[in-house]
Amino acid sequence: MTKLFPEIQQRAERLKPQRCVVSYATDEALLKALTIVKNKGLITDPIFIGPRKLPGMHDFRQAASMQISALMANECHLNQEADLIIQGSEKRQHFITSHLEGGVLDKRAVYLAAFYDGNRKQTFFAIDPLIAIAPTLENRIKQLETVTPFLRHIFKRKVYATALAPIETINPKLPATVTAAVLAQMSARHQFGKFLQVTGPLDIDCALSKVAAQRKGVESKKSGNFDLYILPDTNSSYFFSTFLKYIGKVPTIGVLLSKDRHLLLNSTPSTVSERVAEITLGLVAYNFSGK
Amino acid sequence: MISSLSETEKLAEAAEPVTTAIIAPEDHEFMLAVKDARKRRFIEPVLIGRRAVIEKAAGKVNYDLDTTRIIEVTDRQESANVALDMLSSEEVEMVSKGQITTSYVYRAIIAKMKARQEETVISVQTFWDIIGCDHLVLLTDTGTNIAPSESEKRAILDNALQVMPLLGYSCPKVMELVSDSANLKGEHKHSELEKKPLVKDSRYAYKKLEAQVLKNVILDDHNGLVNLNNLPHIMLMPDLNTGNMIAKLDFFIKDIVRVSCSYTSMGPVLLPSRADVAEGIMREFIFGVALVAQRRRLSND
Repeated sequence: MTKLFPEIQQRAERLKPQRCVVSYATDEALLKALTIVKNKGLITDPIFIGPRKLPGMHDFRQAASMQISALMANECHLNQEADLIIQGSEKRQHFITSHLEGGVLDKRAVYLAAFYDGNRKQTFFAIDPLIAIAPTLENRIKQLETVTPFLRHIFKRKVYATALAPIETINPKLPATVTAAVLAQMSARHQFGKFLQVTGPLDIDCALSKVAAQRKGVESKKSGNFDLYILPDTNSSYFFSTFLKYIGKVPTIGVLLSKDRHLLLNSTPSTVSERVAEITLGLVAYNFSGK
Repeated sequence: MISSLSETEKLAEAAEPVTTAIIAPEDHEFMLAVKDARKRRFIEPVLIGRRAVIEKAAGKVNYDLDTTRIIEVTDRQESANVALDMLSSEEVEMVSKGQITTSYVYRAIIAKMKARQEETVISVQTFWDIIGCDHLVLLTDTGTNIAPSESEKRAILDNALQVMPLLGYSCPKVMELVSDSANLKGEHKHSELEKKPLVKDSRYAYKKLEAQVLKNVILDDHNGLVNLNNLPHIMLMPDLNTGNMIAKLDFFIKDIVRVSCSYTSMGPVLLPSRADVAEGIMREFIFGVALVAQRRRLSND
């Protein structure tokens, strides 16, 4: 079987087992994935909160509704019974708002989507398909401050990012081109540190293909090989992820990173292997933030 | 119903060559496509632009221009205007952009449509031929409208619904894409986003899909697996950022073959990307010729 997301699996290799609570656990595929993760020694027996006990749920606590489940999961976290909260079948919006510190989404919060490129046999990432609807430049800067150290931890080298826009020249009528240019200049001046290089604005064809970039005269050494795609807004990012996942059949997972707490959202991965990879990503993120 | 681009190629092969105004064919890849398309009798080109640069590009691909008409125009906007004049007067049946910024072509189209007292919302239609899908999928608008309003989206849909019948889709299934991102309320949100579909009707026949989230359409009800045949015939993009990114995902997803054009009441205007190589430009010529062949057939009927 192909080893998906090899960089993430490598970072998980020496992790101590973490304790997880699954909020509103009704999904047998998730249960199967958690068993695999447990057998790998990455987690202890999870706490399951949900409407009914399924076979294999050793530590089960009943909750009649999603609201009660969210409260109980939060308590598990506050009582230090669990390190990581995993979304079960709860509605996404409800899950996020229930579990963020004080119910508030901090400005550094960013949903980091990860994709496995089967041709290059590498992982690449994109922000932000879920949270920052129309990010301002300030949001973007804070997101990159959150994401960069984590990706540096994943890749163990400098991270190469591209800020995408519909065109590769700067046009004030297209704010994405301006934001991309600013981020590129900030990275050139090492404002994100020495481990992030942002190229942009790039049209997606130039970002994905060296030949296309050469044809348009915006050649970048990393065209076709970027680690991180910074998409203009949530619409473009959401559909970028969705089309890659469902039409391109690209394995797709993700994690919500924030200042104090990472949440493992259920991005409805297509296979159990992808679900295992998503839980592993959450564990790596949790462990990294504790350092 | 034409279900793949190979079928459009058959239509193009059966058609008489289409006289095509080509704006600024000043690059060897583009000229190679023009040369091959003429050799295969898909098009009869009329080259518009700077003669010396055109001749240099032709020389690079050994294209003998002796029997090809060249109209010398040095100004970029004027060259686009000349091409649209020729399309409007039916001197040519199709226009293609060469190595020229697309905005010149858009301005020429809008000016001509205004002169003809027509709707002036122009849009780009990108067609995907996807392996495993039993029909073509049209994505629009993928090129012009930055943040279309309700009335602009309706016009974008009207434009798409003018071209689909030429390919045999008389009442296509339409989906206006809406993201399933977290719609956080009040203090939780970073900013506003209208997440409701905007388009309510059209001048032309179509079937609106009730589902608004792509995942809910593409996954089969009975087994939860992806079924590409469930894809709508037309997907309306929420904005230019999205349309532009998604249309070009063929650079990553190898199961997709893409062609694009801006279909007008005068005929197709082809808009190959400056990043496209000869193979892709040729594909657009063939697609455009197939559309013209269908227009001819319908007008004869």
